[in-house]
Amino acid sequence: MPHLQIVDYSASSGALRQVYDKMRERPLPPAYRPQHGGAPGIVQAHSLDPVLMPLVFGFSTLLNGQGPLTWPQRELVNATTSRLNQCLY
Amino acid sequence: MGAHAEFLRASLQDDQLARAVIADPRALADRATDPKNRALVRLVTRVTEMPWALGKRDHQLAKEAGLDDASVLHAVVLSSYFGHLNRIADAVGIDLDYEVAIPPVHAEPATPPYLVPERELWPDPDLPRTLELSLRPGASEALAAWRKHALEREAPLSVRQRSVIARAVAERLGDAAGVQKFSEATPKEELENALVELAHVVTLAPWRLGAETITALRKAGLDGDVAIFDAIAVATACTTFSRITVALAALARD
Repeated sequence: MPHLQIVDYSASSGALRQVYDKMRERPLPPAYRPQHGGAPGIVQAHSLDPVLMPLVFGFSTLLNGQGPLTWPQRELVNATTSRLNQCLY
Repeated sequence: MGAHAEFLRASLQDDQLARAVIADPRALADRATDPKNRALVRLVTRVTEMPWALGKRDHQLAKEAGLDDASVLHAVVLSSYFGHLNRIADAVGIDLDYEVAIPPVHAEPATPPYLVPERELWPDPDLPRTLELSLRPGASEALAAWRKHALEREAPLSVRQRSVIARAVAERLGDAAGVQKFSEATPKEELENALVELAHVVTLAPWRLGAETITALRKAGLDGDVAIFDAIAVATACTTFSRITVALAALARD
């Protein structure tokens, strides 16, 4: 159960709906698409601030979408950081 | 960690390294077979746990393992960025929505907090640096836009409240420039004290974030989920901003 409200795509409107639609256009490799077909939970976790969401994930595209670190090296960085911070997600 | 251990597994078509990350990343810093992987895990562990303790020696070790300056910068910024994502995920309380082959471990709230550096250990922000954020195209601009949104709006939180959070995070990460910039923003009333407490847990013990964090902010007078999310998102963002600043300054010192 989330501790704060999460507005998913079907419940979204206005600015948030526009941001979700725009983020859907991002090239997302198959490995990053959750089976529920919607935006990944970490994206939805930002739904209470539709201005923040593209700022945060624009930065992600910049860092995760290109080198010099290779895809496995980037995921090693991401997984190691998340493990140390004990983030289940 | 669940999602990214899965992506790591998918990227290698092999689960050995991902399983080792979940089991014990500190052991991996010594035992990973690939020297670049060993160096990356060592560097990222330092960036995450105590960025203020980095030094030229860490940069040198990474270089000797075959990581060039652009790769070291990439790892520092990426790890600092994930510091924000990890904390937002836990504070909001999202469920893992990927099918994963390797089960993640649950947070252990009794884990001691990350260490706060004594003042004399804070890296000197004025020391000439070998690694600058500007070496990565677009990163400075993207970070500046995020920083402006986090720190320069008057609603839901006031600029003053944002500054209180930013200062508290900067102090806990040894970010001298951040503390200087927000020198006036020491807490003066109950809600500001609660924002400092939020910054404390967000920065030093992310494994304790959860329902209690939200309840404390509500009790202190933050009204509604949007304002509470704002407070949390300012704190998590500031850990990213201060961590990058501190790590890059620290990597330049003897």
